[in-house]
Amino acid sequence: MRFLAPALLVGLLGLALPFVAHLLGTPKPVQRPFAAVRFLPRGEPTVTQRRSMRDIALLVIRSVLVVLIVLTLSRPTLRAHGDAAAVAETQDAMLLLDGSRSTGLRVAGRSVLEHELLRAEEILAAMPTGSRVGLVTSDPQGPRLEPNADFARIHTALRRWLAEGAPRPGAWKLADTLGLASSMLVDAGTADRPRYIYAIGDLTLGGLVGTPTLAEGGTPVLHVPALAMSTLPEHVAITDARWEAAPDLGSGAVRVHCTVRRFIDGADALAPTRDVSVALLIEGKEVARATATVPVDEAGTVEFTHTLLESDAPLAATLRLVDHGEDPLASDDERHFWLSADFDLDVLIVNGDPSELRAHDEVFFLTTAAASTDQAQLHGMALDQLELSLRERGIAALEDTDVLVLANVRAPAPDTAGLLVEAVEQGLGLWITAGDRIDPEDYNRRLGSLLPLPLRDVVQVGTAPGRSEAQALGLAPPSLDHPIFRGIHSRPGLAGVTARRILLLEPVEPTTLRAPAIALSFTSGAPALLTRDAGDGRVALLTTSVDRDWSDLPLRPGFVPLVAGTLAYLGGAKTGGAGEELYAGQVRTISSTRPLVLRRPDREEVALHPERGEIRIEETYTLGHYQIRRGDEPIGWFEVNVDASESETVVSTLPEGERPADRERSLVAQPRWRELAFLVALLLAFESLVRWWMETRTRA
Amino acid sequence: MTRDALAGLLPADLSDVLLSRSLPPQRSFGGHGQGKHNSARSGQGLEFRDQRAYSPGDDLRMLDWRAVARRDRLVLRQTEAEVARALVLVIDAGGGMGYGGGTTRKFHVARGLAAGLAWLAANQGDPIGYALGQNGRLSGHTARPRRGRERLNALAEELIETEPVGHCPWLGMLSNVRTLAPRGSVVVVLSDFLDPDGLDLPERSPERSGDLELRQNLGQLRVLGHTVVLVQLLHRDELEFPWRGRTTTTFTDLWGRRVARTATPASLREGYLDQLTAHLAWWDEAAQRDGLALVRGITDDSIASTFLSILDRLATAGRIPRSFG
Repeated sequence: MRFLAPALLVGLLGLALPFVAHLLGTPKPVQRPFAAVRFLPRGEPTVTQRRSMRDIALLVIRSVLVVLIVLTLSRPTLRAHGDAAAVAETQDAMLLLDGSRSTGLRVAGRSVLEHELLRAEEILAAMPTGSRVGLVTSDPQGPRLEPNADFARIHTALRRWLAEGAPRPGAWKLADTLGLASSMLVDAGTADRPRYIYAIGDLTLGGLVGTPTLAEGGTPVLHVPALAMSTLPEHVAITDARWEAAPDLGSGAVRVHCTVRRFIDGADALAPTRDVSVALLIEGKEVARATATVPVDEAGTVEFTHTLLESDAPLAATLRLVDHGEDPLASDDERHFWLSADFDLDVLIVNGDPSELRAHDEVFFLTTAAASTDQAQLHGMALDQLELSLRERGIAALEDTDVLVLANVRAPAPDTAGLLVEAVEQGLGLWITAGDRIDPEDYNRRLGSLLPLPLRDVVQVGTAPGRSEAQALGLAPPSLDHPIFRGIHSRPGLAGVTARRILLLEPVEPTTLRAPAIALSFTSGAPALLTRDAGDGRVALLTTSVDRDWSDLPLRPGFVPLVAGTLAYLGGAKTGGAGEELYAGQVRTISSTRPLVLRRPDREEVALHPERGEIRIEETYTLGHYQIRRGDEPIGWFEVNVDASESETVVSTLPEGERPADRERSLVAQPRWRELAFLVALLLAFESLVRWWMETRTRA
Repeated sequence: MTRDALAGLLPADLSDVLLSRSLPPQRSFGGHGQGKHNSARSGQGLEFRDQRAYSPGDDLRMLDWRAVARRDRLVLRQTEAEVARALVLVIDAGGGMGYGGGTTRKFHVARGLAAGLAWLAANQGDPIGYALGQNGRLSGHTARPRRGRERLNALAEELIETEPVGHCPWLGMLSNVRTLAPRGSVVVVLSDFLDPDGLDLPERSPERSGDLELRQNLGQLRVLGHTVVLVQLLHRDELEFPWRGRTTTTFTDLWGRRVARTATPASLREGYLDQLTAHLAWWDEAAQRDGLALVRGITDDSIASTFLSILDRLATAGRIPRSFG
């Protein structure tokens, strides 16, 4: 046990007082008239009696009372690993609380945030006299208080914060709020006393694990886990929702993909897989339900197909987890998006080898095949034009494009290549077809992060030293599992293709970042058509030319469905183009010189007024569907969802040496004087009772 | 007031006893007037005493004709002459007699016994005298026995109104009795006999000077021919000293003459009981030596049983010889 005010222990000397009083004190004698006083022995027995101890029971109780009162005033504390404590010196401190959505996880009947509030109160109770404490949270809408000696306002602010709905989506990471806490400490002044930041949160990357132990200016950051336990309850969440047109299924058909994850440490999972039901709702009505089997440490997916009726306006769609019991963190069990019947694909084709002879034009067969579909809107542009446009407008130059085709195009200039990468990562589909103008090194250098596999070399098929006659490669039967071949259930009409030249690729081990999917291979095993996801976009690479220069692929019956399937696959990366997805708290900027109206998910309508030609929508903390109107005409739609990273509740481990148990010197302990004060009150009552009983017995 | 006034002072159980009792006859040295007690002289009475030879001039009505027939000579029958016998009540009304509560108060018991004795005496036509000693004062010249309603009323009134306080003036009371009581009276002394003097004497002074003086005066009454019965009334607290605790207690003297003792009862008890036992034994021996009848009663015992003990002692009191040793 330690004491925050050890000087007051000198009061234990007062333990002598009850002994002295009981030894020296002369109690009032009982008066008893008597007729035979004559026979009472003479002498001084009272002197002898005064020298002995009287009322031993009362003496013991009073001695214990003196000890307890002295201990209570000395503010004792006990060490407790994992519990909140305060440094045992007068200080200026900031309480930094993690208000991210993952702290809404319910553990032992309370949310993690409520546990954080308990830790905060424990720290405040352990604060040495004279300390000043402030408050800041990672919730942008959360309370902020300058360091002050009045702790009651911190209690009030925390309770109000909880009552207003914390934790909310859109919170910052704890580490990102450290700078604010540090600056508030510095602004509070008083450089002659130590400063500390008590970071209270969960052991996730967004919480304590990602928070350093020193803030700007060298202020120590003391990690205070909200919970002592390392195992948290499992919860499930929808981490992704995408949809794409499904023309193979018919006009107006869409496919909706839902990704579900289980958040639990694999070692703690009770079952290796878990079935979770997902419902698809359109305009609030459930239209379909499916079951996803979710393994531990992996995502489970479920796919819906739905046919939309023709509608001028996008439809509000929601994917929702249903019938999964009481989820400890339920705020991530929904995902919102806008569905649209407008399935046109805007395809921008960059012709790397134009020709006045149509049959020799690089993109003649491609555009003919693409035009044969109902949805493709084709546009053509030279690379120079594209680069100029990108330089002028940035990636906005491609905002109306769903798929960009680089047909036998040299690698874009480095500055524009970066913009292309960014556009693809934001949802643009990219199809690169091989040809003589492709320099593998340039492509690897400038677009390497997009390529399914690095490019190696252009080879003439079958050539070898000493071989005079070239050979050709055919195509192996395709992998019909690939989404490009959706709707094709038999031979795709690509038999008999002969390729004389192909683009060889580097054989690289697939990683989580680059996981190519091979849709077509040559009979030699070399990939012919492969795809990969890059950010929100998709990339396809055809290792032969899309004209007749390198192969006779365009002449095969299967070329048209191959082009249609590839374009549809690449264009399906975006969520239909019907709306823009924002994470809670993100700002949406709209260019407008006229006022607009915003309809929020709760049907509330808010007037938006432009400033300097643009409108900033900042209040995006409510999850759901938003609609922007100019007068009565809807002009924009967007949805606000939670960032899937905020669903992460699996406990990470603090680095060695930074776990609270490794830094015992900076922790004091939990205060215990409240318990002692309660004991004192009890004993006082008991002493009074005993004294009354003894006096009653004496009078009797 | 009549004997009903005394009856009001009698406890119920004592009243029942009185209905079937009378003061026992005594061998006396002489009385005056006709009464129910036997006289030392032969005379006209109803009870056979003895026979003697006829002398000229004797009353021929007293001839015992059966004896004459047997002895063939004249024999006279002698009977006890029934004479009046005075009852003198000497009542200690000092502060010590106020110890106890309710019916266990010593003075309450003494009052009841005195009322019972007076009632019997009045019933038999005996004259009654009394002396109450309280707070150093005597209650007038009431020691001279008298018959009649007025005496009874006065006694009852005194018994009712007297509140025990102060010390009892034994010497004066007994002096009055010696002077005023006719020879052969029955003197009943009601007291606790715990502290007749009450002087807080130095430790080495003769402790029993008061007891000795009282004893001497009581003995003188016996010598004068009175039947003296000492009725010692004690409260059970005085007899057993029930306090054993370690709480400091101040014992204050009810007689108002001794210095209070402050100590723990536990430290006093043993010594007290030893001294009390010695004191009671002393009075037992003194009474035996001096031919005094001693009756000891505890106030929480039945007053009727104490009363009967008094009557028993009265019945035997006349045959108790004095010890001159």
